[in-house]
Amino acid sequence: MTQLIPNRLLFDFEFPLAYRKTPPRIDGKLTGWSDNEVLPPLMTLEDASPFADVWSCWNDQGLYIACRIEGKRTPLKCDPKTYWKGDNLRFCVDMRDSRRNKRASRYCQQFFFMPLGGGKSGGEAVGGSVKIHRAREHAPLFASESLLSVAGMSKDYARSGPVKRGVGQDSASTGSVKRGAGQEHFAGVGQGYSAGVGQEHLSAGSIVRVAADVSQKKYSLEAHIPTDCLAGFDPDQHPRIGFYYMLEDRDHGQQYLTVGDDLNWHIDPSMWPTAVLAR
Amino acid sequence: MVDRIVVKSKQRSRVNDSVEQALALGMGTITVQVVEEKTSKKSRTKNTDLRFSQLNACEKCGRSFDELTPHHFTFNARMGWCPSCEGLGVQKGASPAAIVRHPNRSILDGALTGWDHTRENPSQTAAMHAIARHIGFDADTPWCELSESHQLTILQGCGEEWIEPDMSDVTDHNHWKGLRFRWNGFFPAIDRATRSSWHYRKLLEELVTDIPCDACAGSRLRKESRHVTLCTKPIEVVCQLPLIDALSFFKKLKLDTRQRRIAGELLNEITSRLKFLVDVGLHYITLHRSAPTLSGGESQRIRLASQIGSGLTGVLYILDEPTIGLHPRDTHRLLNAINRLRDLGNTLIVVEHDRELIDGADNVFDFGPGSGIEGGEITAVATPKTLRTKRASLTGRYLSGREAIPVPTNRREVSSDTTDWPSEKSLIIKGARHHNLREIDVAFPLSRFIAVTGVSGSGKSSLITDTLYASLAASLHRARTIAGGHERIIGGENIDKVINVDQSPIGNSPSSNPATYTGLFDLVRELYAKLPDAKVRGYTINRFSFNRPGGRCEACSGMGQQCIEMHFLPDVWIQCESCGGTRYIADTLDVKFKGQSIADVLRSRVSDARRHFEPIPKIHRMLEMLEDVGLGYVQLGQSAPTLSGGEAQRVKLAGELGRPQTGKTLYILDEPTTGLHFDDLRKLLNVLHRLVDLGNTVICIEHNLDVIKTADWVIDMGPEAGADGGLVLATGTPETVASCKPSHTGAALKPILAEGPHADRETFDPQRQKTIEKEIAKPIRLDDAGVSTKMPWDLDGRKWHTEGRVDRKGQKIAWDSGVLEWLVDTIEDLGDFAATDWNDRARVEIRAPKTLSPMWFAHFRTGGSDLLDISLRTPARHFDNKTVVKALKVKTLDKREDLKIYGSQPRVKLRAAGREYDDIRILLRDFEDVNKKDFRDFLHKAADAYLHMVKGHQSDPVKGQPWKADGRKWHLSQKSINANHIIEWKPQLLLEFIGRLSRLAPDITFDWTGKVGVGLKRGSPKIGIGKIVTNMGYGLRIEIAVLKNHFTPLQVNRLGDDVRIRSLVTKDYVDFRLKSLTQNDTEQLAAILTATADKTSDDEASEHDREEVA
Repeated sequence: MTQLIPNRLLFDFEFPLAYRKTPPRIDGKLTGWSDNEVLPPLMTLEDASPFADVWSCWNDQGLYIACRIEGKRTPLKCDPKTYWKGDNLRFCVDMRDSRRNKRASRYCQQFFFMPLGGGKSGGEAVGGSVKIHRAREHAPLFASESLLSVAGMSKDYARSGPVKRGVGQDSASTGSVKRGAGQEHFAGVGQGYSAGVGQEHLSAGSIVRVAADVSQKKYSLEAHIPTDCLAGFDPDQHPRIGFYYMLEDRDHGQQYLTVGDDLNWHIDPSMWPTAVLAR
Repeated sequence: MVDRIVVKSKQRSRVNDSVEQALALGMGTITVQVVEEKTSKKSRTKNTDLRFSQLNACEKCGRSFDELTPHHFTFNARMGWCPSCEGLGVQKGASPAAIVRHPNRSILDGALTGWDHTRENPSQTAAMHAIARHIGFDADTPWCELSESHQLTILQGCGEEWIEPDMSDVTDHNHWKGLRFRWNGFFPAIDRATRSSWHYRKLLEELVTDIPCDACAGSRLRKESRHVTLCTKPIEVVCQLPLIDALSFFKKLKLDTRQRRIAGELLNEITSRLKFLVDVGLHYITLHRSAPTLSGGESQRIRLASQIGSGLTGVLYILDEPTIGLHPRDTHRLLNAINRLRDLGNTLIVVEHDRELIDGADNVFDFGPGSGIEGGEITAVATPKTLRTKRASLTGRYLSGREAIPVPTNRREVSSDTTDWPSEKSLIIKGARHHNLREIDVAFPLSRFIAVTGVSGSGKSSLITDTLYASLAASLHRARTIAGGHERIIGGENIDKVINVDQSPIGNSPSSNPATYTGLFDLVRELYAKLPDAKVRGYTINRFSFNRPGGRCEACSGMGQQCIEMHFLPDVWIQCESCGGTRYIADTLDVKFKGQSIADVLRSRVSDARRHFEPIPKIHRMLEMLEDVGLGYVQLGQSAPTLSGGEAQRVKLAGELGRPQTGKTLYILDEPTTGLHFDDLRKLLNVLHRLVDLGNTVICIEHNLDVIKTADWVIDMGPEAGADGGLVLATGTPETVASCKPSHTGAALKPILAEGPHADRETFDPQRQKTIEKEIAKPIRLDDAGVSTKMPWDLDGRKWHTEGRVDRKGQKIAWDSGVLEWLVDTIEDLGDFAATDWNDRARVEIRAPKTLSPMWFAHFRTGGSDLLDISLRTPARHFDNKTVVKALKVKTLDKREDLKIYGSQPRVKLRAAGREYDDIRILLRDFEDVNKKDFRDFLHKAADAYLHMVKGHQSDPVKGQPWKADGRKWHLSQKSINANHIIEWKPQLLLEFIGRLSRLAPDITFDWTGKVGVGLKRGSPKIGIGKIVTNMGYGLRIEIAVLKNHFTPLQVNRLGDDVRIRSLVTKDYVDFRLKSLTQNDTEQLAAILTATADKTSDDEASEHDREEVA
């Protein structure tokens, strides 16, 4: 036996998350992302090299995350109803620095993003948040507009009220949703969803924006999670947050920040490292 | 204020009263203020407060202590036990040996598991440098040279301290900028992984072992108790002393008069009890040793010691082999103890095989004359002296020397250079330091019978079982064992297997028996399944198993007995009324071989069964093995729990002998003679020597002098037990050890060697074993036993399938066999087909002539009871499912109201069968389904399409087979890999590996025309030696045929990932996987290419075997 446990489990990591005054353009083209914003490739501690670059930054409008995958061999498989099975980027945040808690609190959220699968045709980028299993409390759920257009998902949403179309859609495969005050947010289907949950009211301007640029052998994905979609976002009082991503690709496998599925990152926030929102 | 007193001698009683009153009022505490007299009028009075307390409490920290009682010193009471482990002294945790694999290396050079190539990985190097700098040591320092606190910090972590890597260690500055980390340490991280994940809980459960409790360091007592000392020694230190040292400690205690008055009687009791324990030969064990770790003999001797101390008279004591685990040096001590008990007026009955103890008895009852069913009588009742004269007594004959295990005069020689290394003929442990071993180097000559001796507790088991076996099992068999501390083992590549043969039962279930354990019963079942009666009835090998439903009696689930629960009394097992104890139903028992059913075989004894199966060499040889190890009297079906330890051990050895021998196996036996009579011992030694004659090595930890005297090589450990042991005292032949003066074993061995008798040991011819193995490898042939193997379908297949047809279960079929005849005749008339193949029990096939294609057109499965199952093969996409269903117009079963079976699924279905063909499956009942023009027309079209396709193949053989058109391009394109697989290797790897093969063996040629792999051929004419499989996403899989038994696992372990040696009849296959060329060791690859074997011949043989089994 050459390895007993993942080497990354032997550490608790903390890294600064780049601050960016001018927000990146969410168009899937990855314009303006710099090397400073690349997340640390911690998988090199396991003798593995990353197959994709993943960027992230923040500002007062929220968090941004982006990735680029090259060398695709098979077509993308993106079905938001079973988002965990196909090509996807999952992103977890905990807005409080409580890295010893093994169960998610109301400040913990899990988002998923896919380059395709959204909209009526399934050709738009799609994203949203899902419930974290075994959480003590759940944060409200959010979705991009393209997710709500997916057949079978609008049923739950229809019960919640009308949708106001988002503004500033700047790419063919961009999907976003904007909801007004008093509207109820998405409560969809799939892993982590259940009918009728999350019937809470959101503040104005809750937008999850996601965009992708897909070609035959590669794709890039960008997403913006605005502050209204981040439960407890308070960089001045709570600059240290839990931060985790897991990139799943049918051709390359999984790339994750600290630990993989075998250590239950999706239910256990104590496995997420700490990111510092320094200006 | 209770009182103000001027202290004078007259005030004594007042002082007493006041103090008592103040203590009562102050709940056990008082303050006395001493007021000093004024020296002058102007001076102030100085007051000093004195506090007194009846409570055992600290005023400053507030900590209080109970009054000490004996309960504080027992780990079985809440008052005494450690609150963390509750008196167990251990906790579950990862073994440090599993984490620190190479203590002589630094953390950068691979001391720690999972950090093997740290120096080659910049991230790991930076992290380790940062940790080392933070803790305060040099990362290049070998682990064993680090201070204990540094080692502990690496294992336990740095707590909450943040560590920042030095940017000068980091190559990728951008990504590491601002990153810092906490070092959690291995123990907490493993604990976290096992708590967080079931996956790791299962994965690491072997690593988790009992380690000393963190809180009490294994002493089991709470902190307060451990701080009480007697002559500077706390109780746990005294408990950890060997009994002989503990006795000396208590004897040498210097006490003053007061102390003596308190402890006098207690000390007498302690010393006398310790003396009893030492007297029965238990001087080496410690007081804190837990009961489960004691051998049977040791626990009996402890009970004996307590009885000697009790002074009871008129008691009958029964002892069963109290000498187990006792060195011959200490046997007389035990005998003295037994005699003392007898002299007190007690009676002792001792079941024993030890020569010295038998000689010391007043009267001997000898049981016999044989074993098992041949025993059960008392053959002699006499004193040891007169027993020697009793001819009927087997024990007497051995005691008198009329029968004896002779000292061999033809020992296998060990040349002196084997103890030096490197040597091809020895196995060397360097720097063994587990438990009490003192960094010793021990050499074991291979292909020899080696006895490891020494007084109990001298470190024999630590060396052999805990270190040698655990290490070899981990490296050779990937066992999850953790070896005791040692530097390295040299010569492991000369061994291909390591087997620990112990006396543990061969199974706890009554359904396990000698026949099932040795694999013999599989052969017997195979034989019965081949009998014509079984084939006609459709019985397979599973039908004759009593562990599976089908042929067994379901009333008793194949046990032959039924359990009756008696609620308040123990369960009672009675013979099954349904099967009468035969375990099978009557139908199964109707199948007989030479007049015996399978139940009769299970009931028969090994020797009888051997005669019965004489015509079947494969079975006969296995039975011969069982008889050779002295188990001729055992019933084949005797349940495992009823076998004695010695019998179980010999069943295991017989099973080993029945396997193909590579001559490179290492057998390890820990006290194998426990419970064996002289005669059984002789049989066991014969088997062990036979294994050595075949080239294997046997290492035997033993006290029995009869075993030691026959060994080729003796390694004597000592000189004493515990801390005084752990050294190799003498090595050499028994004669050499006997001449070693400090050796206790030598002293005991000397008279035995002198006494003799001396004789040549009968050697076993390895050629005979080869003959046996060949016979075992051959398939079972009924012709050899004179049983006709001509089956009805061989004699007249058409009649078998159409007249009086039975289904797979032997029941009459319900479908109309006329349909089959009609279909076959119709298809035969439709085109130029080869003759219909009727000669199978449940299958009829119509094919094109062999010159065109080997592929069938119509395949009829005739074994079903309700429906005839037909498959027709047509070119891909020639028909579609809808058209076929519509054309054939076969009704669903639900629409056939005349039938008693039902189903709404269509009875016709077309499905793709690969790139080239479609299969059309039709289920038919009778003529109503087929007697239509459309059906006949469809058959015609299908036959035409099929014949057109096979003729097309003849003209263009590579059509639809790109690997045949351009194999190189096909394999490099990775198109054969399933789309769902993640590809982890690059096409360049295939070219690089082929280049390496060509460089190492220029005569190798590559056959690119395979669909899933590149064939390897060499020699003239070209002979296949292996292939490179390219259709796996995880990497290339390479298999190369090599000469039989030529390589051991450690000689090929660096070829790639997941290296295995597969053994076939005449050759071995080395299989491995590659993701990159760096995984492949050129030297090992070159070595296997020098010993490649012909791949084809054995495949044919094994194919033949498979057919035979089928």
